[in-house]
Amino acid sequence: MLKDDGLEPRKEEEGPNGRFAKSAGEFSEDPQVLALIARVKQKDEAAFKELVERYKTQVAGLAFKMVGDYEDAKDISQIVFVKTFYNLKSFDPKKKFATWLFRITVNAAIDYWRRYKKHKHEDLEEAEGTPIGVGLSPEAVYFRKDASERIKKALEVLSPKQRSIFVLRDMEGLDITEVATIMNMPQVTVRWYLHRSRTKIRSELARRLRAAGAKKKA
Amino acid sequence: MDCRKVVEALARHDPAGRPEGAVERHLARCSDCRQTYEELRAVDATVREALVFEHPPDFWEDFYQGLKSRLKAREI
Repeated sequence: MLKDDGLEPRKEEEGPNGRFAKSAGEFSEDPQVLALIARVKQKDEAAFKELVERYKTQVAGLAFKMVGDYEDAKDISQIVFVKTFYNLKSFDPKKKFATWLFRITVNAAIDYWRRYKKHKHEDLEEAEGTPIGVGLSPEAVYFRKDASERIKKALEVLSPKQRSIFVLRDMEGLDITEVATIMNMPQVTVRWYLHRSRTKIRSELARRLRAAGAKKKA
Repeated sequence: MDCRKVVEALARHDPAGRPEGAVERHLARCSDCRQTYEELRAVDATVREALVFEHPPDFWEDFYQGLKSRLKAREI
């Protein structure tokens, strides 16, 4: 049996009219990144550090949006870069490196979420130490923290796949083609998941915003 | 286009774009649906503005320490 190490696309059932997205495969990667990758494949640690430095914020930012917790995002990012270091040989240089990295990140976040979600579930209320909004006015910090908590709770109503697609498209702003490549799904399936996610998240958030408004008035 | 269909279309629409065609025309004359649309826009804006990755000051220091240990232990 093949080990699922999060590096290979996870097969998604083909949609009714779907074809798997291939267009991101036509991308040509930045030569500097390719040179770094070649050096990392030779286990050059300085090159690896440079590669991590280049992509760490994107990886940790995506992980944070997926799991909503800085400590977990840090753990996931470490896992992603360890996998990168030891498995870079499986990266196809004709493809976009960030897409490959995002796929590992999404898979690692889903695994992490499934494994630890039940233990982490109840602590969303106690994110007092979360330093959201350094340098902002107290009102702005309050608004952002409040909004972040609502989003975290609203995201919990989504399945891991719905959540991944929603985060990649509506929070990270990737295009549908890239999301389809990362998720290894036909674009039509991505659109379907996206529609379901948006409907769920919008109604959940609208409900929470209305409830917060009613509480404020009372 | 009736209000129910407009609300369904609004629930599907991409937050990056604006309603077009029949939906846009309906919104111009229906204040209830316009209000629903404004609520949705507020929700979408909340999504974009929330969960900004503003990490604690020692985040990267801890990250590199943990990464180094995991690489040494080849912990995956």
